[in-house]
Amino acid sequence: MIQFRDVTLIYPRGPGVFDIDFYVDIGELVFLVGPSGAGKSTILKLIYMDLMPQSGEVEVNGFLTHRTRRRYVPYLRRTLGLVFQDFRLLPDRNAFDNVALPLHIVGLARHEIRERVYSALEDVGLGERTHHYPRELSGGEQQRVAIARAIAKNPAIILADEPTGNLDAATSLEILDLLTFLAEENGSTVIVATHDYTLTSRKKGRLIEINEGRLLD
Amino acid sequence: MINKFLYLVTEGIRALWRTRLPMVGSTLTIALTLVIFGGAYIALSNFDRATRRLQTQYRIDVFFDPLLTNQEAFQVYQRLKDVEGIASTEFISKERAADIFEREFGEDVMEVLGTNPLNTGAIVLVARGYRTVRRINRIADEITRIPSVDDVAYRGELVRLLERYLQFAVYSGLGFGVVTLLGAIFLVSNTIKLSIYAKREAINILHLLGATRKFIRFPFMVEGTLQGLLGSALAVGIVVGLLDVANYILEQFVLYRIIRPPYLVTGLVIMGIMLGSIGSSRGIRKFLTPRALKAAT
Repeated sequence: MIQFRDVTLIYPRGPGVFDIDFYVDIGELVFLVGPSGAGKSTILKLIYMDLMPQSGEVEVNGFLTHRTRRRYVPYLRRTLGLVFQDFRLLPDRNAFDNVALPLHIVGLARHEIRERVYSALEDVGLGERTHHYPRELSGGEQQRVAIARAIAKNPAIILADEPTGNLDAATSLEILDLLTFLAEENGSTVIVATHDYTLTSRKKGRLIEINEGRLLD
Repeated sequence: MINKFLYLVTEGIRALWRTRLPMVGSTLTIALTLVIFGGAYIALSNFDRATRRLQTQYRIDVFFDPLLTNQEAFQVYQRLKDVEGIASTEFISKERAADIFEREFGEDVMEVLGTNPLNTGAIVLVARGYRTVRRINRIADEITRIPSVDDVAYRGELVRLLERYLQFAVYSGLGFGVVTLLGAIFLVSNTIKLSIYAKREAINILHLLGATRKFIRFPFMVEGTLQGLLGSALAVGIVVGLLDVANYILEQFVLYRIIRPPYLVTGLVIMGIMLGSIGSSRGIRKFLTPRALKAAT
């Protein structure tokens, strides 16, 4: 499913990640934990091929970094659901349109898009707020919309980069519960990058620790 | 596929509405450019038709030295027949000239002046194979070189003059048109640039969600093309409207109508769409690049 083989990436102005080697299986829940600047986001970016390794190789859903040309990266991303700390919602679109966006990208029929969007928004508890704009929603609700957008296309892998970073403790737990529950229901692999160790202790999942760009044993 | 297409077209329209202020500027510039080109096309087509009409009268009026008697003038007249390219000639004696004067001005020159100062001369008709401005000029030059020929007058001269002035007007109009055309392309691409910058965060999100370059670019192409279409609709309205007004005014005074050349409307619409698409693809090529987007943030 996801395989890192001796991956190294050094940024021009500073460190990156070094000799990363791990494997994540189908349906696994993995916490990628480490302090800020440890390299968690870099690893996620390598998975969705926003960055390419300088040495080593990443394999995601059959896409290999050294064989995947730039123009094919969108096809890999369509198999992934991405959730970010800052939600990355379009401010001028309501919850429905935001969740529908990846479905328009893959070119689904209108009726199917409607069905999937309503179902995803129901799943995250926002069935009544489909026509609300991000500015009309709380942080937790915005993150729920982002989760609905990630799960609406039934992705094989969900990548969440500090999904609770902007939320209070209670909401953080709620969001994490929701994310893991839906992923489990969907059979998706989930990788949650977080610096919050307390959060990981509440969930049963594999822990991959990273510090200064290197995995800890 | 059709769903995706419709979605992207809607996105293009939405983007156009979002940048409506700069869009008005670029649409007006496109319209101005098209009005200039449309006007030049109408002028050229009508001039072509008018000169073709004028060329049906291939007559050269020859005036001899006013001091010549009728007999001396007739000898000069005989030499006209040696000039190549002449179909027929008619001698105009002093008396015949006075008749023509009376017919045209309603006055007897002898009664008015007590003498006949009118030139003797000839009317020359150019042969069929010589009826071009260049050849008529050559015949007129040859006639002028005959001793005692004082002057020649012919419509070819009028045609040539008209042609020269119109050419000047059309070429300067087209020169101005090219400048506005470049301006229109620049303004469309600038509108697209503003639209791209306004949507840079959305573009980034689209990339993350798996949108291809085509998917991201298409709405901007739609936006530019729509600007071209709006500009051409405006230009067609202005050109056709002005043409109708001009014809209405002309009808009050002369029996002449400015014709609407074929393919005017189609040509303007196609040109408008092309201007819009060229402008938007320039904008996309220049500003929808990772480097340009990064520089904008």
